[in-house]
Amino acid sequence: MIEFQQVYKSYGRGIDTLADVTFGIAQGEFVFVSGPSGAGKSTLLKLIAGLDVPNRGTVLVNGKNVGKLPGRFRPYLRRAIGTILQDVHLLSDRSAFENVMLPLTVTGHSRSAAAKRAHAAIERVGLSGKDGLRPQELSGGDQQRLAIARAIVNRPGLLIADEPTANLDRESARRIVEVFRDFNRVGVTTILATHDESLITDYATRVLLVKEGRVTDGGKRTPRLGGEVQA
Amino acid sequence: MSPLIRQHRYALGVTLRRLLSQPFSSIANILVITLALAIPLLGAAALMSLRPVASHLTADPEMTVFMQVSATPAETGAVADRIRRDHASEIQALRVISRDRALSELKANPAYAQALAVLPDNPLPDAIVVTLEGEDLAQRSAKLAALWKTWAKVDMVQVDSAWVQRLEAILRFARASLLFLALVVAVAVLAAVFNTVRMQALSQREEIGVARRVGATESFVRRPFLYLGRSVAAWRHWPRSGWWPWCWIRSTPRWRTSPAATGPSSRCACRSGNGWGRSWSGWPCWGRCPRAGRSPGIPASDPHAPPPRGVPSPERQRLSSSLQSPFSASRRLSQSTRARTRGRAPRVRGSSAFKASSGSR
Repeated sequence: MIEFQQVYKSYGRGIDTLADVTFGIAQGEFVFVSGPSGAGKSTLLKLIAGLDVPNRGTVLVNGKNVGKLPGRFRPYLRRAIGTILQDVHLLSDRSAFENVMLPLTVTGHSRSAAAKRAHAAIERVGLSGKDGLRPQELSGGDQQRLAIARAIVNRPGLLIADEPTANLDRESARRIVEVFRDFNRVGVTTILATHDESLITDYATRVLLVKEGRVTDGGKRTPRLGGEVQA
Repeated sequence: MSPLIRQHRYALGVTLRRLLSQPFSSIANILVITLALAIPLLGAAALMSLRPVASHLTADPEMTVFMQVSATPAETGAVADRIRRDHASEIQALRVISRDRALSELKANPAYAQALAVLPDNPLPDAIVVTLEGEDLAQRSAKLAALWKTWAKVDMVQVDSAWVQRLEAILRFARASLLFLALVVAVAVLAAVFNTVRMQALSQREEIGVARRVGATESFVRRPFLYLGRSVAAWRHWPRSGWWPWCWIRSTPRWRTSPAATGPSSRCACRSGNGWGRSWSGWPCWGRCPRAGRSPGIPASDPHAPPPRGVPSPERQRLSSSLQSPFSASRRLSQSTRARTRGRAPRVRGSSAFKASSGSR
């Protein structure tokens, strides 16, 4: 589903943020991207999400070369990818429900259909009853859940989360990862970037280690908390 | 309702919300634009009001041909006949004032009577007063004066419309100045609208970023700002509504006697075309204007309108749907989660958290 072939990415400082990155992720995998801060995890995820393009090499997402995809087609790629960033970027002047509605508004869904889906997504992440609240009225964990609801409401085939648990306590972080794992169980390819070793130990079925712009594939593994290794 | 129309409706809603969220700023912007546009309009109104006055004045330009004192009445009559013959199409009227008649008229004025009484002879020459007609009188009068001055027994030719030429020059200058002012104001208005939209874009930067991340096209992101710019700029037509000078310019005040002001175009030409406007001069703009039926001042084809988006191309549809296949099988998803949260064993397949919405796509 995702394939990196000798990918290089730099931001004009002469230092490669990513260098000679080659790996592949099959559909339905639950992958953790681990590494220290500034190692290039976020850049890696941005390349997958089509939010950035590589300087060299090929990034294939579902057979599409992200780097060579014309700009006008990139929004359509992004619609098929649910992206959750560390900073949740929720719109503070809108309710939780309206935040979740946004991706459906963008795609031109009718209001009734969009509302059904948005309610279902909010319910799915466990925020039922809070859909009328503004993001700033929600806790950090709930804001992350809201961001997840917004990411999944378009039914993406790929979920990407960059440090979704960075600002959360241990218990909230686990609940968030559980939500991601549930989506992965139904076949949604999920990629989580984190440097929380305990989460990786407990949930990761595969780890990609990013260090100084180089990516090392940690291979398949069995998580401590009952996950199964994906084919 | 098509997705495109829904997106436009959303963009319009966002625009109105943004305008209403900052009412004072919005009103201030609109007032600035309106006042800026009113200045050249008022100037145009004044200029167009002066034009018929000037044309009325130039309608009766007179030239006076003074004969030499030694010229006999027969020679004066010959010059008058020649003017009538050679320039019949250019003259409206011609009258000969003999030197005796001029002297008697002068003597009738008590101020000159004593001075004239001591003169041994009549010092006044015969005079021919010619009233011209037609267009471009200022230039033609100069040419005729130069021509007639060469004729025998003609002493001098006086053109009475020199000051009219100066007035016309002033009007030409005023017209050019007004055009320049209009250009400057147009640029200023564009800058004001651009600045309004730019400030909105800066304040909505986060929303733009989020929209792009969830798959908004550039046209979707741009659309609310285009609507905002258009709605602010649309107020530029306010000064041309029925109560403003545009109507005043084109209406028919009673004092305007020029033939140019009495034709069909003198009726209300305000773009509202509703025929109920009232001019500043107090005279109603009666009748329907010839532009009736047009929307107030908005051109049929708007260059700022976003490019039409048709049905997504097969490439777009394929791209959009290619990654979504796992969710088509996602009916298994929430069954397991719900079951876990309720403490019972999950059923493997069959239901979905998106069950309610799964049929909507």
